[in-house]
Amino acid sequence: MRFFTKPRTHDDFAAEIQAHIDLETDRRVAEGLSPGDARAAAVRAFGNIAHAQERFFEASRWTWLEQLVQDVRYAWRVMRHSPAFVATAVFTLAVGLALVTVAFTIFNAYVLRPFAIRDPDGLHQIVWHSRDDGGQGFRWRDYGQLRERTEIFSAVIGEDARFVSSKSRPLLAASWVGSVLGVIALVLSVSGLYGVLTYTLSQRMKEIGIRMALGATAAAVVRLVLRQSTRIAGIGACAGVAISFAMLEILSAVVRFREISLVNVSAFAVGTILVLAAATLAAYQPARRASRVDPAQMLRTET
Amino acid sequence: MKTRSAEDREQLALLQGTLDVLILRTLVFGPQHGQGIARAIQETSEDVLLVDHGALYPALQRLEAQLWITAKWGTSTNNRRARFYTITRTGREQLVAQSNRWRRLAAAMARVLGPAPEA
Repeated sequence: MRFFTKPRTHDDFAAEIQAHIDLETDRRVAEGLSPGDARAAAVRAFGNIAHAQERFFEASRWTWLEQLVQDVRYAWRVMRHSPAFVATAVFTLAVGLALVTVAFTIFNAYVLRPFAIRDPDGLHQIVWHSRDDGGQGFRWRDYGQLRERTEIFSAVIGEDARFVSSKSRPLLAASWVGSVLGVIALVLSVSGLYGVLTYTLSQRMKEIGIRMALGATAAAVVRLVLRQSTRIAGIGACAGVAISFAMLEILSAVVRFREISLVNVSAFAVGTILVLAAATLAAYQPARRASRVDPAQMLRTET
Repeated sequence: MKTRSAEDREQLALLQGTLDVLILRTLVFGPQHGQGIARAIQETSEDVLLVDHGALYPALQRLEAQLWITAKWGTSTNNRRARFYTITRTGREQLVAQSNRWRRLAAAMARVLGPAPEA
């Protein structure tokens, strides 16, 4: 399967045609024709040169676009035909994505970046100069007094070092557990998608057999299946993002997360990418298996 | 986009299958350039499968895209530059599969049509 090779240039193909005609001319000269007659015969034997170049041009230039349009339309048709499949796939992916995103957000907030603040501009740093401490330093009492002034400060932290690690053991453990659960959820979604895809592909074997008999390459079949699953994954991802938002809002109402900003773009990005990659992975194996089918056999057994 | 008549499409479908096998079969004996392949097909089929040489190229391009054959520019025996095609492992496997299909098909047709009438 060739996805990433550089396409041939027009000139390269023209050179190949020229070389072909030259070789054929040599051959005819060796068979006894005059050079002029030999070349004329060679050109005649080649057939329509413009035709060949036109087909090459068409093939290389528009194939990918044509195929993309074709694949998308086909994918849409198939999805309309099996709404149950689409619903299941979208649901599993959405749940997976939501769980991963939520887990990662919490993990990120508590373990990776301790200072995830909802309103970064409202963060003020108070530097203390104390006369009797000979410089910068403040006492526990000062910290306590500041904390009490809740009409000024919504929250106060005293820090000595530049970063504060989350010393809250239960929360730390919970965020690790949450992340592991998120990964498990993702794995489950992937295997769910894999199972659903394998089943539906086995239903569509006859159709794939016909396509291959009509000239679809194995690569085309794989691309077809992958595009379809990517579409589904995309829908699932969007649904997942929506669910994540909802879940995070609910969670922040239930548990006070202490000024932690829960809308974390990187978490959503990571979650979405993970889900799309996982969906592609899940789809790849069934797609390959589908493309390995022998069309003749498939057409025979299905009738 | 070009439109193709029904006749053209039929010819195209038949041609696609035949050309693939013929090209792969020719390349089993060693790397060869387009003109050499055309000649080989012409000669071994005793001019029955006489195709426009140019008609080979879409097939060659398709086979190359599927990685059943690879291509490289080189020099021919009489010092001409040419693009040589080599069959790959996948190509060999495909050749075996398709040759078997063709033989089965030919045998079935022979059975259906019965023996040739006495001249």
